This record gives sequence, structure tokens and C-alpha cells, in this order.
Amino acid sequence: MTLLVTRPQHDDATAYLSAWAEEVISTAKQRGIEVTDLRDTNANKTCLGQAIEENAPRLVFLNGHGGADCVFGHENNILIKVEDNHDLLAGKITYALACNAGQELGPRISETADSAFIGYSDKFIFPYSRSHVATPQNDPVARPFMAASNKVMISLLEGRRAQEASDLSKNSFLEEYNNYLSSDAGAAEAQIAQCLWWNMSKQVCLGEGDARLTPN
Amino acid sequence: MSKDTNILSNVEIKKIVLARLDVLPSDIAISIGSDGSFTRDQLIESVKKEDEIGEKMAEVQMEWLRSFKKRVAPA
Repeated sequence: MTLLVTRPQHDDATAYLSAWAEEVISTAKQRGIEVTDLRDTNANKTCLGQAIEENAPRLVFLNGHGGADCVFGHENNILIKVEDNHDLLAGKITYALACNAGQELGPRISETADSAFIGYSDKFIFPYSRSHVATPQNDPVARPFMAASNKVMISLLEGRRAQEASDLSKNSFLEEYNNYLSSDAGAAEAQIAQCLWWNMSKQVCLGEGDARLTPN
Repeated sequence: MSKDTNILSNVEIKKIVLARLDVLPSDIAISIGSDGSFTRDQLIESVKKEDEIGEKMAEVQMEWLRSFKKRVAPA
């Protein structure tokens, strides 16, 4: 069983996603799942095609910027795109931590048998502390966003079904949202809470909601 | 482009969005996908200019307010 991760790292946003993907990679390895990690310059279309052909991963975790019909890799070069190479993800469970890919790319991938796509139908928006850019994993401002997002992959690695993994992630966003709106929260926290609510409401699970890592 | 484009043409909404952003600590940046990351002051400037980033921040806030209204409204 293999997990494929793509994680470019060329600006603040991708540096945060890449750093927080470490938690998912560690969880997979602890569970004895082989990980193909296409990081930095290796997050490109050629390497993605080769990795899928050679390792036939059941789970794919795409990190980076996105558009309605695509997800980008290193330096925002196309990694996967509708009518180009989207069929590479047929029969897989894909989580795209990227903006907008739930609009067109997700539906096209999820048309194929035993495929599930979890992603976002609009922008994935997150705040971060500029004083933590060198250490994203220690950033308390970004943590609730990254932890709630990682819940998708960690749930899938635990053998949960795709729809269940998305629901658990949304619950995490909601819990973090409620924490931010607790009695001692200030106006700045309310602003951040709005972004948690936004991401929760824009997360979509398409295709085979019963798809899972382990066989039934 | 969002379907809610021109939210900021409403002066009252624009005031609310600006007031919310104004309380953000200057150390915080907000990542809005491939559009980039923006400081509090840059976001405020975008709202004032009513550009795409400003509109997106307004959309986030309006969606939250609409959901809040639904949650507190009596069944």
C-alpha cells in the first residue's frame, strides 16, 4: 500500500503546506504504509506520472496552489489538469489541499470507478504568523487550519471511508472555530474564525464516498 | 471571479469589513491561494480599492454572517 505526496515549496503558503504534510507522512510510515514523497522541484508532472506508474498508490495527497481544473506543482507549473493527465488519478482517493480544484478537476476525477476526491470548491484561506515563517509547524496561528486539514489524510490512513474522513475534517474545523469564538475571544480571533468557517464550508467530497484505503 | 463581485460597493458592508481587518495584529498574514499572502495593511488597502482580494475578504465575511444568521434564527 502506497501513499503519494506532492509538496512544492516556493512561497510562504506552499512552505506551510509542505511542513505540515510531514505529520501525514509520519503517520503513514508509522502504519507501515510506503510513502512516495515528491517534494520541492520533484513536485512536477513528469515525476508524478512516473510515481503513479511505478507505485500505483491508492492514496494521493496533493499540496500546492490550484485552479478550477488543475493543481500546480513546483513554481506553479501544472502538475495535474483536466483533459491533460487527470486520468492518472482514476481509481484513487485524492485529497487536494489546493484552491478551487473541487470545481472541475474533482468532479472529473470522481467520474471514474472507485475514485474519490476531497478538496475545496473555492480558495483555501489561512492566516499565519509572519514571525513563524521559518518554523511553520510551530505557528499557533496556522495550526488550527493545518490540523483540521490533516484530519482528512490521517482519517484515511486509519482506514476511514472518504466521506467519513471529510466529515471528520469538517468537524475539526468546526471545533477550532468554536474555540476561537469562546468567551475570551477578541475581535482578531473572530476574524480568524471566519476563515475556519470558510474552509469548512468549501471542503467537498466527490465520487465514491465509501472508498477507503483498506479493502472492505 | 466570484458571483458576489461588488459586495464592497455597499458602503456599510465595506465599513464592517474594514473594521474587522483593522483589529488583526500586524504580525499576521493571510494566505489567499495563488493570489499570494497579504498583511493586514495590504488587505485594508485592497478593500478600500475594492479589488479582487478585497472582494474575497468581503465574501468570506458575508458568508460567515449569513451562516451565523441561519444558526441563530428560530426554527
